[in-house]
This record gives sequence, C-alpha cells and structure tokens, in this order.
Amino acid sequence: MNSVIKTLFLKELRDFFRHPQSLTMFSMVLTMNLLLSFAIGELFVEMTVNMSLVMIGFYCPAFLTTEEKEKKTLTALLLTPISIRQIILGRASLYALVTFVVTMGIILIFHFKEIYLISSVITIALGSLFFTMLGMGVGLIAKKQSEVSAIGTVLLLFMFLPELLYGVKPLISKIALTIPIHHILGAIREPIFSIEFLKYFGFTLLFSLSLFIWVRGLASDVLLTENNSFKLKGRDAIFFTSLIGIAASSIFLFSEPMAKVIKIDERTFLDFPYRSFKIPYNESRYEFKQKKVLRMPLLTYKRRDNEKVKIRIHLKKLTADEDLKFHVEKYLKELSKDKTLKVDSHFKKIGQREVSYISYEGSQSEVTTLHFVVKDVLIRVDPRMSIKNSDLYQSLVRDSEEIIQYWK
Amino acid sequence: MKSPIINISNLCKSYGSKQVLKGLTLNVEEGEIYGFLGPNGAGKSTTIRILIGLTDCQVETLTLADLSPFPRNTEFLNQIGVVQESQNLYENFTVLENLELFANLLNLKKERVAQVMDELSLNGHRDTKAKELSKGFKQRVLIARAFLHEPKILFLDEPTSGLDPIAADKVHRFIKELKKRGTTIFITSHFMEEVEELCDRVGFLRDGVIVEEGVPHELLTKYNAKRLKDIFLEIMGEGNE
Ligand SMILES: Nc1ncnc2c1ncn2[C@@H]1O[C@H](COP(=O)(O)OP(=O)(O)O)[C@@H](O)[C@H]1O
Ligand SMILES: [Mg+2]
Repeated sequence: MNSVIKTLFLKELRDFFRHPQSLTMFSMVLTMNLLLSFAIGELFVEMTVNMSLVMIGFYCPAFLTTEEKEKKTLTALLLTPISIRQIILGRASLYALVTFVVTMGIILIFHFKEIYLISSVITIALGSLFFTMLGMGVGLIAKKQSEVSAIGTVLLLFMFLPELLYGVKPLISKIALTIPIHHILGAIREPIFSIEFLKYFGFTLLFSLSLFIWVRGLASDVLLTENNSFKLKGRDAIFFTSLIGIAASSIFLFSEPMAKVIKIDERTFLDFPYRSFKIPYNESRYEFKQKKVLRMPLLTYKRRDNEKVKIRIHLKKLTADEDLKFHVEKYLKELSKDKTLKVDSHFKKIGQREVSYISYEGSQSEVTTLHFVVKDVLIRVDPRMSIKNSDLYQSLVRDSEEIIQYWK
Repeated sequence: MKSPIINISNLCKSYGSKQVLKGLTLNVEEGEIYGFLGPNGAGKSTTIRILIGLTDCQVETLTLADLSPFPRNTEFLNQIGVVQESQNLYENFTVLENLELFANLLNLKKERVAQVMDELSLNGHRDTKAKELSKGFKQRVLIARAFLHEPKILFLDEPTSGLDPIAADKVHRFIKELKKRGTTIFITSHFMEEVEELCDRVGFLRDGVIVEEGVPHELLTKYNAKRLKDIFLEIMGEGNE
C-alpha cells in the first residue's frame, strides 16, 4: 500500500477508538442488533445490514470529514504535499474495512442461512465502500455536523423503509428498486455467477462507480475552495442524471412482471414466466391480486361473491438445508406458543404432492393451512375468511387443494 | 540583485461585492522577518491564505521562492510552513502523535520529530492529548508542525494572540532562532511591541493596499514617534474617526 495512505489509514484507526461519535455508532449497531435478536428472535436482513452500512459506513466518515472541515485540520493536511486522492482513500479505506467486518459479522451471525458466502463477501465489500464514499461526499458538502445528522437520519429511513415495505404498495416497490441497498441485499442472496447475482451486483457496481467518480471530482473541488465550501456545479448535475438513469433502468429490469392469464387444456392458469410457475385460476369465482413481500410473491385469490373470503398464497425460497418438514415444525412451534389452541397436523398426498395440513380452532371457525414444496420453493396456501361459515370454509379448502393439485 | 523570495504585485481579492485586497504589492527578501500589520478584518489572513494557495485571487505576479502556489503543487508546498489562526491540531491525538502524523506525511525521518520537540521544549507534554494543552503550548506544537520539514518560508498568522507573556516569549525566541538559520518569516500581528522586537521590515495594510512600509527604527524617525504603536494608530486612525 502507498505509504501516505497507510499513514492516513493508521491515523483514522487511532482516531476511531478515541472519537466519541465513531464509538457511539459502532456500539449502537452492535447493541441494537444483539437486543433485537434477543427480542424478536428473527431479524430482517433488510434492517441489520442496512443499519451497519448506514450507521458505520455512512455516518462515521461523513461526521469526521465535516469535523475536519470545521476544525480546519483538513487545511493542515492540504498544506502537506499529499494528493487529494490519498486524503480520500486514507479515510475511506479504514471505514470501508470496519463497515465490511461489522456487516459480514452480522450476516454470519444472524443470516448465515439466507445468504451465499462468496456473493456476500464480494457484494458487502463493494457496498461498504459505496456507503463510505457516500459518507465522504455528504461530509464534504455539509457545513456542520448537525447537517450530517439530519441527512443521515433521512438516509437511514430512506434506505431501509422502502426495502422493508417492499410490495405493500406498487409505488413503494418501485422506489425500493431504485435504492442500491436493494441490489446489495439481492446479490448476497443469489449464488455467485448466477444471472440474478450478476444483475444485482452489476447495479451495485454501476451505482458505486458513478458515486466514486462524483466524490473524486467533488473532493478536488471542495478541498481547493475557500473554506472548503460546496457550490453546485455541472458535475453534480451529471451525477444526479446518471443516478436517475441507473434507477430507471433498475425499475425496468427488476420490476416483477404481473402474471399473465393463459389457457392450457381448457383450464385457466396464471403464468409467472419470471419464476417459472403456472397456477390454476378459477377466473369466474376468484379475483387475483399480486404483491411482493420481503422479495417473494404474495398472491391473493379473492372470492368475487364475497370480499371477506380469500385464499392467500405465500412463496418462500428454501435454503439448502431446509425442507417441508423443517418449516412445518417451525410453524407448529409458533402455534404451540398459544396454549389455548388445539392444533392438529398431518400429511396427505394430493396427486404426487406431499402436502402438510395444519388445522386449529380459530376465533371464527376452524383454520387450515396447507404447505407444500415445488423445487426449492415452499408454498403456503392459506384459506382465510372473517365470517363464520363452516361449509363455505370447506369449499375454500377444496379450492385450495385444487390449486395445489394443478400447480405447475 | 537577488529577486525577492515573496513577490506579489497587484493582488486583488473580493468576497461578493466586498473588495478586501485592492492591488496589494509587496516583496519580502530571503531571510527577513516581515511584519504584516493591520487592524482586524484588514485582510491579513486572507493574504496569507492566498500566498499558501488556499484561496484564489486576481494577481499580476505571485511567486514564492520562484514557484507559483497555483495550481496546488508539491514542489511549492515543500517550501512553505504555515501556522494558521485556528489552532488546528488533531485534538484526540497526543503531541507526539500529531507531529509524527505530519512527519510521516512529509516523508521525514523519525528522528526529526524528536529533534523539533527538543528545540521547542515539547517533551514535557509529549503524551498529552492536544485538547488538554494550554493555548500557548498548542501554539508551540503548531509551530513545530509547520517547521518539521524546514521550509524556506514560514507563515505565522497572529502566533501570539491570546498567549500570556511567558508563552509569547517562548514563541519569540524560537522565531529569532529560525531567522538565524535563514528562514524567511511572514508574520501578522496586532502587538506592536512584538513587531518592534522581531521584524526586520513591516508593512501596514489598510483599505486593501500597503499604505506604509519600512524598517521599524527608520519609520520611528520618519514619523518622529517613540513607539510603533503610535505610528499604527496614526496610520490606521486616519479617516476612521
Ligand atoms: N470566506 C469569506 N467569505 C466572505 N468574506 C470573508 C471570507 N473570509 C474573510 N472575509 C472577509 O474579508 C475581510 C478580511 O478578513 P481577514 O483576512 O480574516 O482579516 P484579518 O485577518 O486581517 O483580520 C473581513 O472583512 C472578512 O469578513
Ligand atoms: Mg486574521
């Protein structure tokens, strides 16, 4: 490594352990994740990874850069014969490394089953650098540390809310697709060299490259300007245009297409070419709605004659060591927490398919949930209604079985 | 004749509609201590920031040791050392760590830090964090930092403002020592006693130009004054009533 960058790296490292803000952020990420993991048990990768990327990767370099502007230590650095690139890389290298280590630690501890290791290492390395450089950029623009806090808070919410609420409203899903965290979290869950990984990683790379080029220009500009103040320039317009371009192509590329209604042998199906599924669809009796929750489709069949009667279908990707039994047991364990429930469960074959039936007495009527597996996807079919009518419910369960029987 | 080590002619600088420097012309000879004097807000710090390449300006000639500060270049930066008004040390670092950091960035040997710390008697607080130091001590550390690479020209922006007489005296003694070694020193100050004691030549900055310049004792004769302070008051007081 370049000896100047090494010197600056060591300076940052020393400062990290003495700086109240860095330490606060660092310990906040750790304690919040630990607390949450005890409290909730299962953590959303959307939250944990995001927290460490933003709170360490973004906040720390942003704060420190603005502080160095305010205290004019940056001027002292500029009066030594080192280059601006070295100033940027000195700080970025340490914080990217810290962010990478913390984020990978969190992933390995809490999410190991949900991710692919090599994909994660590569993507989180790039993602850490992305957030660090973003922090440097904002730190260069902000006049005071309070501005960094404000921008950081908005950024934190903006980064993880759309991702967490993905699928709730089409607009939110579209917004989520424009935010790099979506691609980072997408890439770590795909095997390396798969098309999906390359797509997600490619977008992370595009975002990163345009950010790096922008920060490089911004740094030369701000650092060589009176009092290190920021003025809007053509460079910023180019950057934001490129961001919009990348975001738009991401929406175009990653939006899940709506299912198409097709006919095979006199039977109507919903076709999901994107996921290679075909699901039987009784068009005259049900109305179909498609959503996406936590990256997986959530399908709803609503009875046309009664709004309160519907079949919900959740899809969930299985990891290598999970199977139908694993999830059925997990679900039963959840249910057994409520001691008042009398839960009944058994397996039954529908056609060639092994299907798990889990039933219990709900507040309205008996509730049955059906689980089965197609390839590496767990499908949960949930006949639901908020009125009491045993016969109607039985017919709903029969329709659910039919869906399972003809699922392709 | 040798060309001056600092050579400025017709330097102009405005902030918005406010013209701070209006055609400043000034020469400093090698090895001199030049006192750059003027009231608050006259533009002394601005001039220094321009001379060290931190602020842009309009100018006819601007060279220091035959080099231009613009665009930012290594060769030029190697010739200058600067102590600015803001005491910009890394507050979380000790005296030693502060100096070592800059010695490393300047690619100097480790021994150099020990040497400078000796010269400025900083060893007593070697391992004290900068934020715990007194103002006077900080100032000595800043001078040490500026002088690590033995620059040809040293800029000191109000090096003794806010210092007690003992601390100020220590700074004065070091400045004299540096002069003996041939360093050119460009110093701004309000303290006329200090200026009289240290400076070979002084320039009075008013309304963006040098309105009077010369060797202190010659000026005293010219103005028939006892102290430089009286001359300062006479020059700066005009039109300010
Ligand atoms: N970055 C700046 N933006 C606008 N005005 C400035 C800036 N820096 C200095 N000034 C103005 O320029 C004038 C000279 O300031 P300065 O050089 O700091 O004076 P001195 O050091 O002689 O006290 C002051 O009136 C000050 O308000
Ligand atoms: Mg000043």
